[in-house]
Amino acid sequence: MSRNWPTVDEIMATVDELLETIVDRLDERDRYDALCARYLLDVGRRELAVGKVLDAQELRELQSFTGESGSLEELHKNLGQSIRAGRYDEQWQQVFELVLAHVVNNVSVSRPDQLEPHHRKAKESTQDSS
Amino acid sequence: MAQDLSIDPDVAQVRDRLLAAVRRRYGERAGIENLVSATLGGSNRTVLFDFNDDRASTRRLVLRQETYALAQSPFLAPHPQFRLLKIAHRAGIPVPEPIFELDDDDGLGRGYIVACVLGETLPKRLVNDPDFSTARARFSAQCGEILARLHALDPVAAEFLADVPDSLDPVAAQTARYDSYAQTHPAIELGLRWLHLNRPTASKPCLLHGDFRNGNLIVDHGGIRAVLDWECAHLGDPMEDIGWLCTRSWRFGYPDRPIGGIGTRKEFATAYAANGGVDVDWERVHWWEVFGLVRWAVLNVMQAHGHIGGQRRAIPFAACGRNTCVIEYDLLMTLSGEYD
Repeated sequence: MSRNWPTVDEIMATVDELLETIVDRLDERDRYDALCARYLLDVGRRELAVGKVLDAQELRELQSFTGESGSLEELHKNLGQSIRAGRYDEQWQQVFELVLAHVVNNVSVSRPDQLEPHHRKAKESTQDSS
Repeated sequence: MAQDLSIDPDVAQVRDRLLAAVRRRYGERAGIENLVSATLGGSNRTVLFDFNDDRASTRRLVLRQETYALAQSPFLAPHPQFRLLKIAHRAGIPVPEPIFELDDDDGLGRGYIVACVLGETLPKRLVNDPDFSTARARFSAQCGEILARLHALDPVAAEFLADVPDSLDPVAAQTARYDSYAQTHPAIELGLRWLHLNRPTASKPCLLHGDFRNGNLIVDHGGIRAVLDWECAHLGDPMEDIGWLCTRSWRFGYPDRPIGGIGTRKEFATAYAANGGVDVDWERVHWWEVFGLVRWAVLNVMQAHGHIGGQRRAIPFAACGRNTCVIEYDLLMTLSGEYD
């Protein structure tokens, strides 16, 4: 797809530039919507950059932890059902760490500024090496 | 916050019917003007307007119309909300004065009219703006006083809330809502499981506001003037309201100030006890703070569900979906003991 200009990143940056230009001319409600739209564009940009890598990593971790095969969605669903049924009560710390790692992945895409420094640093080093 | 009527289709839609509703009750000389629509809320549309008739001077009022009435809605219908406002107002709890309730003949759906209370609700301004320094100094104590007075009311007066899912079993209520959105969130499952495994013993039920937090309080420079948003009220453990007030999501950048990002637990507990409340059981409150994070995560899933399903399409609701993981992060960090 790189033969197509502008690239998807440039398209998103262009839309963001428009929003940035007009946001201060809007009334308060539209301004809030525009700020939310800019936030969603940021999320989209980060997900395009690292989403596939994170998904593949999570799939490997889930397969290893549960011993099951299937799509990421299926394994997440099974994991949720197993937690609810109490099947991981005796492995609370292990399942907790697995879920926390995946939540940290999601926050690194949605709101990386909200991560504590040790999680932010770990994410940056993982993404640099991928 | 305000929009000009000429460009706001929400307001244009309600104007004629609102005028007719007012005239049915106050006579043909009654009038309305200066309608403006407030920012889209989680469950209600809010329209402010000036009311006048031939007897009284102009009065600023607020129309609250229900906008979320789907199955598994976590919000009370307007009728019990209005009843609660009357109960609270009679008891001297600071709420907007209830004026009248809409009925079928009004053609405005379900909702009610209350008096407008002037002040600020935006949490970021309340926690940061130097103009609110006096209000901030009183904030925790006022929260303690208001909640103590609310929790002291005879819950029999609000017995119509006894069948609300949150009154029956708040964890089951969250679980049912979460399941209805058909999304998979292992972190929410962990939170629900922890709540199940660590559940405190039942307590004598009180009338709870259910959404008492920074953001649902009208504050002026002198302090809290009104408690808004009664659509989550139910009967339950008084520590639930305190836990929700302290939930990390409502600290707005000041995690070391558990009372709304402004004050301390000690200030709150002192005022709560001084106004008739029981001694605050902070261990129990912690359980309710975890519950609050699960609940807030589920509410954000709900907003994204409404956006994606098309029932309530709005950009902020799409953003809520991507905010869910941030709440899950707070939840897990709280469960691990890294956050208090």
